[in-house]
Amino acid sequence: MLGLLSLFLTHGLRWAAQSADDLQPAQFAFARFPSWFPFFAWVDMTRISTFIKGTTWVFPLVETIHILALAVLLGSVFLINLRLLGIAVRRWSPAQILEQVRSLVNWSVVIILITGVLLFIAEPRKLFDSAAFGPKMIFLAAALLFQYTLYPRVRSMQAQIPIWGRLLAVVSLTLWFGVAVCGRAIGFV
Amino acid sequence: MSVLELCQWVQDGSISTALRESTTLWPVLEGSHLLGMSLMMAPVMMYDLRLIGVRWKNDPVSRVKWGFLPVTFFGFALMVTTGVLLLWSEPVKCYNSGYFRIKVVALILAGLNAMVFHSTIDRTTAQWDTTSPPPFRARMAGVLSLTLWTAVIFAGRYTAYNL
Repeated sequence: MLGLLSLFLTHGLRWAAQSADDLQPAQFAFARFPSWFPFFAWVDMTRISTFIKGTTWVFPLVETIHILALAVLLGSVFLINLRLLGIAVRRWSPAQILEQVRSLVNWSVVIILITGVLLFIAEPRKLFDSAAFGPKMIFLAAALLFQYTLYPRVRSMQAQIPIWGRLLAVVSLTLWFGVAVCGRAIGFV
Repeated sequence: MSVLELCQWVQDGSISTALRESTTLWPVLEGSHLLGMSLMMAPVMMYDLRLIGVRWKNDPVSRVKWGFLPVTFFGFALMVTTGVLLLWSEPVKCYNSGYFRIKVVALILAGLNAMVFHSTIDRTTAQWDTTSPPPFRARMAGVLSLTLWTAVIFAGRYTAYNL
């Protein structure tokens, strides 16, 4: 299922990128909304951006920490979702797993946001034109909103998991997976 | 035949070329490798944190172990399968990369750590299943496992940067 989803997203993103020609920015790119340009251009000129661009070691280090935190976040959420879907980790209730991973998830989100902002500061011009960055931000906003509003209802789920528990898992998987795939796609399209 | 020649031979083969040049398969492979990484890292971390004695403190070690092991194996299998194919797609680059060598060493050390753990302190889990804190050697194995897998991920990501 996840393989199919990734194939679908890859093709979608490629379509989005290929519809760009010399005159027209890529589909879904921030470049479609020129009013954003001054902001991206300003970030590009800041001292911190110049500093990161002037070094070879900062970007890889920040990006690797970003990915490491992403693995922890995605993996932890996966464990809860697999349990909600009844696929794995059946020894604990979803509420118990959430209780144990909650601080890990929160810390990963903090680290991901800090390193993510730094990565953005490092190459705003590229992200302005990227077909994947816009969708990633939309997925991210939706995923965070979902994670901290509806998802905590998992806390009420003990042995019996209601139908909407499975729905929570599917929505959560889709949103976080969308963030990850679009994020990875920034490097490709 | 040297290792480099072997890498060159593999890289010149049709499978390697097809993998490397596919604009669909390669990103999907790499994405699945990352997916496998997070699927494996989270349960490994849960078990390590239990061994160190900071999470799941109220659950017996054996319960945490068997609760997460299937997910770990699944993630590991996905990671190895996609990892082998990724290596197949560009063996010469990996051979020349210092970071890839670090990754291989860290992987071997992580494997050794697991082997030593399983053949020694893990055999007596029943005696310290609920002991708090867990014995020193168990905590050591947990710390080493966390450190080594983090090193694997770091070195793996750095392999791609051509630094």
